[in-house]
Amino acid sequence: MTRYALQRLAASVPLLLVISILCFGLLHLAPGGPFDRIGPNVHPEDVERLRRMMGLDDPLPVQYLKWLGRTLRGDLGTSLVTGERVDTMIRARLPATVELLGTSLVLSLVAGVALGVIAALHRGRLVDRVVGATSVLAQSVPVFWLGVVAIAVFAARLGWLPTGGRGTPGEKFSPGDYLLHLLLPVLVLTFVQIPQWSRTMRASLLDVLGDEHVRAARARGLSEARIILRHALPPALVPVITLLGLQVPVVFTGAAITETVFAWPGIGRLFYEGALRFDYWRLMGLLLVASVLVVGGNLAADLTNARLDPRIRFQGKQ
Amino acid sequence: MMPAVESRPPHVAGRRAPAGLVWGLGLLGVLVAISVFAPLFAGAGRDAVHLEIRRLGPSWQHWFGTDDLGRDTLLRVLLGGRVSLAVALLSTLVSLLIGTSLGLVAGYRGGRVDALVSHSTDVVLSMPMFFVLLVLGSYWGAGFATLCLVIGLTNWMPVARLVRAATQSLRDRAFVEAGRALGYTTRRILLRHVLPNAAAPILVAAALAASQAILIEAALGFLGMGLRPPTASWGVMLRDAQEHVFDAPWVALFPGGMLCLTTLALQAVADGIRDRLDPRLRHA
Amino acid sequence: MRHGPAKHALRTVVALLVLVALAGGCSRSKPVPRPARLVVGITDEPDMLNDMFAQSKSSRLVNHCIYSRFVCWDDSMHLVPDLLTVIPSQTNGGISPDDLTYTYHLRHDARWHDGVPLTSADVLFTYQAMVDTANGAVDPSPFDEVDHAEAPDSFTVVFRLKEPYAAFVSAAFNEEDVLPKHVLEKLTGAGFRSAAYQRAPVGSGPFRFKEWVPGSHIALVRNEAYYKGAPGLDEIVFKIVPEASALALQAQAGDVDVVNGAECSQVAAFASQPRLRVLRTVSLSFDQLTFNCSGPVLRDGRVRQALAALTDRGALATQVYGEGCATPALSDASPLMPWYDPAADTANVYDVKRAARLLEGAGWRDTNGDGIRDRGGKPLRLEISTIAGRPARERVQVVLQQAWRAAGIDLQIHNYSGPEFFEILTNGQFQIALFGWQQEPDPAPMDQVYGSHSMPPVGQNFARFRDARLDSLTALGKRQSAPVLRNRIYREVEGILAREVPALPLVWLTENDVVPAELRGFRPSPTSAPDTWNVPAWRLERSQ
Repeated sequence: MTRYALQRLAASVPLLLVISILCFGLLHLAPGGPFDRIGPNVHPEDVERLRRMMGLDDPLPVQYLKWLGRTLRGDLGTSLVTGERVDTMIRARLPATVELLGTSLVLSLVAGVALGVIAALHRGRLVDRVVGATSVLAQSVPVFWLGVVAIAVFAARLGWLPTGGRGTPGEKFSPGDYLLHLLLPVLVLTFVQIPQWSRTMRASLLDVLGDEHVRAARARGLSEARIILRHALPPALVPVITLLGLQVPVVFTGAAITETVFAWPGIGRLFYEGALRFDYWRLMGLLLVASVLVVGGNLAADLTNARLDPRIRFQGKQ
Repeated sequence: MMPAVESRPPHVAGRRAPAGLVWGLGLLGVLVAISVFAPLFAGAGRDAVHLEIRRLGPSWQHWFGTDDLGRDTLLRVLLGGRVSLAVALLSTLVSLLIGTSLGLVAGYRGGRVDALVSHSTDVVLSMPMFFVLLVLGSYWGAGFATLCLVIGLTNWMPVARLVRAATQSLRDRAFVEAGRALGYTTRRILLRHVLPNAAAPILVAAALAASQAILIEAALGFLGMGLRPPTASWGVMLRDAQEHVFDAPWVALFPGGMLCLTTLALQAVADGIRDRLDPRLRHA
Repeated sequence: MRHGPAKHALRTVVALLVLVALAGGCSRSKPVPRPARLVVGITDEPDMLNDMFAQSKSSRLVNHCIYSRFVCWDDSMHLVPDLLTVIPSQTNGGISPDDLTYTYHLRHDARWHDGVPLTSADVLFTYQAMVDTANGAVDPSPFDEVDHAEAPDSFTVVFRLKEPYAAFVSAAFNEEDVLPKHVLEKLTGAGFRSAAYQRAPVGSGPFRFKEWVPGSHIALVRNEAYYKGAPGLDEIVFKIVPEASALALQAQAGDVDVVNGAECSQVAAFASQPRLRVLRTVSLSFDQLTFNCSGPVLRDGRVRQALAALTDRGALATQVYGEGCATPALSDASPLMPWYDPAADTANVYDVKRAARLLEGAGWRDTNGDGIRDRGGKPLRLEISTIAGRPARERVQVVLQQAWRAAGIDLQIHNYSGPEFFEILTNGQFQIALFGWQQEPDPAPMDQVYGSHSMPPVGQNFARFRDARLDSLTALGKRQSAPVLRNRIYREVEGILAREVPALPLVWLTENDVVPAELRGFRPSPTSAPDTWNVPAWRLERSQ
């Protein structure tokens, strides 16, 4: 197990390097630069001077190697826009994203798995159809649209909930205030995320219920509850966990939209603003964090699955 | 957004088409038809600006109301549908082309080729895609062709995985081995024998990729990085409508609704085909 | 006020537990803000709280509360002193007869927020920091006009210019804040930009910096020791709400008190609420069509005049930008400006018949009956470009397309992303460009916009306009500090622009600010001065 984990970990290093090179190229080959949009009042020689100051006139490979060297020493550089250290920026914003997305991920996972199990056990009956139809619906609603509608109804029209932000600004932190601010975005995000879990869970559980060992357990006359909980559920969770590993990064990078709608001060928003202003080092730092999340998520999912189902380890070695 | 699907050989499929497939295809057909024929309904100059009837609510003359230049929202939604559906179609073709060729080769050849393709797929899958799309959208500009290409290039990985799995399962089947015994070229075997039998999983992948493409286009449009007016896709219309959540909510309601309907239909089609492939998972 | 990660994790767990309990009926527990606190909603987050580096508009809004400066434009476009006892002029001896020496007298009672007195040493320090390229100030103007500066005593500063520059008095330390020497002395140099100070500044203005929670808000508190008397508000919070529609919803729900620059389409909804007041200010920002005068079709002045006569600016203002959101801009000098020329306004009125005559005179006729004029077998096709994503400008394009089509002109729309757009402006790969400008109460920068020595990339003559008379007039005006002569010079410049139409101003944009009904003293300036220019005078008048 440890050897497998170490192998996988070692394999992810070149992966991260390749990703960082691709991202770097993508950012720097794009037309325009961080000082192009200062406005027409700025002389070209000022822009040149600033570019030189920031080391942006070096050839691209040199810039990349400098960035890599700094990053390996634990220094992500400073923002071209705000002059802040990039790691400080990310550290300041990451908790907000983790709170919002973590909460909705956990809630949707719990609800999705439960709904998936219920649907699978009542296959073809009304419950199954309702769950199926609702998940298809929830999957096809754009999250920003649902967010704006939810704000318009629950915050602006009914006035039950705050319209956005992570707390009432200027007020001291209080759990009640904080939870009220968290509620609406969490509900919206949970709603749109439930289907992916419930559908996977349902399919996978149906698959497992047809397997030999479950049939054998039935033949032995074990109680239905015991069969499901002990024999069917653990292997049926494997695809859900695989999907979780794949989904964590998708959810995190998709945060740009949710955070925009709900004025949530997280990293998605940080990236979006950085992209608008060519803040190369900020973007590289965030891309790196996101890539680590992706690679780490996959790794964690693989390792968990290897535990749940030892056959996977040998497949992985091929 | 796509759960891994285990493909099975097509002969297992049931006889009757699942209800979801039927209504999904029907709905999709209607949506495509009205979008394709939208200019016919339009007649000459109905997309014209009429500043005197700006932001009217829904009425008999204008079922979906009018927008902030007095243009008929229904017509704009239909014309926008042409753009959104065209983006979905073209970007899906790009994804299919890349994903299918890589998947076929990797699944059939196995060994080092497979390892290379699988690793590349992993690398691309490990890129934070939405961030990448944001960068592409804001810097490279999003003309129609660029947008299709960008979405297609960031959306082929699930296709490749599905096709690879399907090919692997077909590789050692009798009819493929027969082809090899007869000395057919690999290309011929792949195109004539493997591809047709992998058609169903490819269709599933295509439908899912298309619904994904529509949502990506809308999200980019919403963040102001999608297509540029006067090309009005649903995503761009939604963004423009944001300005009028208070005084003309219908301008936002209808493109949003059409968008949901389309992805709904595509999902239903994908589910339907999947159910046919694997009747055990069928809902009804 | 940042919490550690552990605390956040704990919060998340608590949140999870309580969420379920709360999911039922929850009423809004909005704390009543007893202290006079004002929450100002802004859509873009300030980048730095130091105007030397800041590039976002919202930075100036905040900086004006924290810092002091020499002068500022007020709401009637007069220059008012801030740190100065008097604004230098030739009559009061502040400006030397040769227009080269400017002598400034500072107030004696200004203090930094840490209690240290503000003196001429701080001013000299700021000037040197601005021009020292090692610091990387974004835009060192107008200090690049300065030959040398000195401080004869603690409260006097003298600037000696390289050559006469009449706009110096309104430009120096207007957009630039005076920085504290005693805090920053050791920080300048390559690392200055990333110093922690840039996000936690020490100023001398009416409000002290309290906290900046990234992505959320910036809070300022009243400076009791402010040299012009303590301000009327206890606290100002600038809340960052990235999306305009979300900001509007927050204002409706009462989570935000002030919307600085509300979207025009949202104004009606605000105006109907009794606890809110909408202030409409016709600003000096205007949208303009810039014609590329080096192009084959638009090189001909008659075609440009015809396009002007085909553009109904009154209709654009009321129906495309929206009633009360814009007023027609008939020239780039607002009627409020001293060099405004009424004759220039009537030169290019909406007149379809005149446009047809002009186009025919230029040889453009519809010879093949397809509805589009042609000349020498080539159709009259033009292309208009703007930065994608500004709905009002995109609507203008569609309306012009339809209106010009009726006159036989085929107008194509081709829009770009921001960087691409500035690229085509600079390299000249465009025909008609639609974008926004900011007029300043001082006309000196005019030579940068239309002078033949200011072709891009050196200057901003994006129209590639060449006119010898205009060149000599603007060169003269730049040096002339006597108001009467200045106004005469620039009136003539306006006449040339109206005749030659290198660019067609469309509308003056109205800035809509939404404020609580009980807020007094809020007087937004039409100039580029931020709305907080008179923030000490703001106060909340509560009925109880």
